[in-house]
Amino acid sequence: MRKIFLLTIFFGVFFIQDSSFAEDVIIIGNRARWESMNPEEKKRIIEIYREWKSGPPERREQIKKNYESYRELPPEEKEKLRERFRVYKSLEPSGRKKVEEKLKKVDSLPLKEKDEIEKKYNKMKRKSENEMMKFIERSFFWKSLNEQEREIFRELMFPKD
Amino acid sequence: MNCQWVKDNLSAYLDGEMSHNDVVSLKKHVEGCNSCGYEYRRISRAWEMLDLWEDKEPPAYMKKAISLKIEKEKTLYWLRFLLPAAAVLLLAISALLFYTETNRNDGKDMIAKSEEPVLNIKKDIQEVNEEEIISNLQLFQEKEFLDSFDTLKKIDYLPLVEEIRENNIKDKRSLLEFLAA
Repeated sequence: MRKIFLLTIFFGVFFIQDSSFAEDVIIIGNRARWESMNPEEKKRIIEIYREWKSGPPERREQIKKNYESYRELPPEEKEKLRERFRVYKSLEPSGRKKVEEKLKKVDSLPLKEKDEIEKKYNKMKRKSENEMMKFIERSFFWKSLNEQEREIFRELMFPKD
Repeated sequence: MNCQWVKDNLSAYLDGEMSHNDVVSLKKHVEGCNSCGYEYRRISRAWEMLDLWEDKEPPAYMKKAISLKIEKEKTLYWLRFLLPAAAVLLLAISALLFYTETNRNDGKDMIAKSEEPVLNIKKDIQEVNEEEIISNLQLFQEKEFLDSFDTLKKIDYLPLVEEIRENNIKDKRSLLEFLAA
């Protein structure tokens, strides 16, 4: 019993210290998935890889960063973003353009205001969907939207199947 | 008994194929009827003349010719059924062969087509860093989503942007008012 306990401690410490262990597990999984892919799937991935590789290094880093950020999100956040992506993809190009134009306001904010927004958002996301919607409906942003834009925004904010 | 019946049965009478009663009735009618009497005498004469002819055995070649003709007729009789059946069978076999051959070729084409991407992909893999792909496989599989990741996240901030701006303006205004006072 004592031996098992010591071994568990030893391997536990070993695995915690070895930060590459988790990465190795991911790579093993990836390799298995890659091997099981059919030629068409592999071809598609190779095309994406080539496109990614030929892009600017900053963009590559940004995508890697996005991937890491995504992995760290709690499952419900991941799910929400996935659903939002589905809605975003289904939008007409004009609809997407409108969303991107609105988002320019966020990009143009100074760093301090961005931090403030982040803090406010973290408070807001603790609220229920109903409470959030009431808050949004009171906002200046909401009042500046027309009926169609509100519909798109509602779907993006609270995507449903 | 009428004239028509008598005329119809005169041949049977002459061949001795009639019952006794009918013979008696027929004889009685013929003796009393001119028309039937005349008919009776005419046929009787013809019969008598036929009896004068000599019965001759037909020549051997005729028998043979008739046998051959019969055999030929029999063969033709069977051919009448066999030929269409054979034609149908031949058509069915031809269709089957054509279908099988076409399928075999299609199969070859399909194999060739399915092997094509395998061969191409091997070439593609040789040209790229496979290990790098494997290490970042999830990233490549999700690339479209990851490209939009920032946009998707920032959507949450939209209702807050104006609030923050408005608050900051208010703060500045109150600061200015405070300073002015």
